[in-house]
Amino acid sequence: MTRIDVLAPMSGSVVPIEEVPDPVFAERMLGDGVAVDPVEGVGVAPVSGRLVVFHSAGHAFAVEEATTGVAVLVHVGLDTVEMHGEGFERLAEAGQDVTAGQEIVRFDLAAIEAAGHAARSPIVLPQLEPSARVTVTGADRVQAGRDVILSVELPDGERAPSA
Amino acid sequence: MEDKARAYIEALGGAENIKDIEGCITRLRGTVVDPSKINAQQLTRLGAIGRPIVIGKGVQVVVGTYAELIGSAMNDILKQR
Repeated sequence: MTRIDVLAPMSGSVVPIEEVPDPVFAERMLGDGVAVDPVEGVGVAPVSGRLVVFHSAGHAFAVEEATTGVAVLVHVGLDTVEMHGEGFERLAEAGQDVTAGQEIVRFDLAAIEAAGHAARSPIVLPQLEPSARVTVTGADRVQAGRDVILSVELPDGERAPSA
Repeated sequence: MEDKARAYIEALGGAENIKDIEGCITRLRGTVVDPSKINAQQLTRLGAIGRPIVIGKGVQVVVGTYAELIGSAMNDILKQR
């Protein structure tokens, strides 16, 4: 069994994925996960690996864990693509190798609210193989880059299919 | 990616049917002229997840983590016309 601990990409309260008011996330159309109501506008890498995707608007990114290939997608707020990068400061670029806890983006929580968007941020595991087991933390609050928000157990000898 | 983008344009009813399209991180979001021209089966064959979400003339298609790349490739093709 291989186990990966996924660190909280932002500080705040832990929210079940079902409570994200966006069916694509809430109905796990992309995969299992969890959400955070952030209290601070900093998003960090949840695992060490490659930053495979970082949207030009700065509101979402995915890191592929170095040894297993498991991808973790972090989406800051909902419908925040509509802000076209306003209020988001990119601190890394796609293709770069990053370390768990490394700052990837800074975002302005007040600007997200002013734009009429929810700051609730889904963290999902797309492309995860069906035999993988996902366990979400029992904690109510997490600190970015320090607390484990969920862990993934993969049967040995298997890798997540690459995208 | 260009072939995929062309296939998505076709599945959304062709270039004439697409008013605007944008790739979010996991889904294509856009506006179409006639939602009935969207071919949901074709979208599924292309790898779209679930059925397209259609609200009025607005459409969202969940395509996975490379939506932005597909979206910008679609816009490149649409601009060439």
